[in-house]
Amino acid sequence: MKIEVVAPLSGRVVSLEKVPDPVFSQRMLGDGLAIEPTEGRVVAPVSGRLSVFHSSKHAFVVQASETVGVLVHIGLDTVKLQGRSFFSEVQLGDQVQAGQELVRFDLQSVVDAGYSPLSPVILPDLPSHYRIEKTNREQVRAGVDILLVILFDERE
Amino acid sequence: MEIRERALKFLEALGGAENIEEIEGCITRLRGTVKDPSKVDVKKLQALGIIGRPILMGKGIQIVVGTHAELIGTEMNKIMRGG
Repeated sequence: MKIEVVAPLSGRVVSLEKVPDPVFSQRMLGDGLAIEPTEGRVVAPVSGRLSVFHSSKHAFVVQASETVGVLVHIGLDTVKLQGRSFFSEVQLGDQVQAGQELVRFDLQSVVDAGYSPLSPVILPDLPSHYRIEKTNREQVRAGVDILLVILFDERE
Repeated sequence: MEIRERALKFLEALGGAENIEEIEGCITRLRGTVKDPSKVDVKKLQALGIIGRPILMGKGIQIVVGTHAELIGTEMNKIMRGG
């Protein structure tokens, strides 16, 4: 069995080690990749339930199955913007489709406010026997290119 | 463990509500400031299943708890306001 994770943002692919936040660079919550976005449009990386959606709209989790959720964190330390520059029409608990637009943000004003827009996309709490394949692409397009593939045994 | 119970245990591990200047839940971690960092009980925090060690910088503290951090932070603030 496999679950494909489509790129939630358009931009350059960056390995997690290069993210200047130990939670992500040390993979404290899980493995994945980061995207240096070129535009402020964020789509659902998988189809499923929006199981976590921070009130400041800068981060969310879409739950593809009971065990597999994809966390998208838009920018670093952006919780401090308290939702300024972030816009969304969806709500916690909504069923969303892969590629569906979930959040828009003003990339320039995030940068102007002094925050990095580098956005980690990680798989928290993934069981250890699940394997993750990462894209070899240097650039990805939101909702178009596959960023990660999760492989696991169906006998679970 | 219920969110409220976890929130109460986090408050206790941080030296009680009276030791907390502010606390908020980001998406993956609790972050805030405490009045007296020596009252933070690292062992108690680790027993709550936090990831890694709490990061203490002066009075600032960051605790990686997982994606339910905002729920816990919100609940801690409710309790601190007497709710």
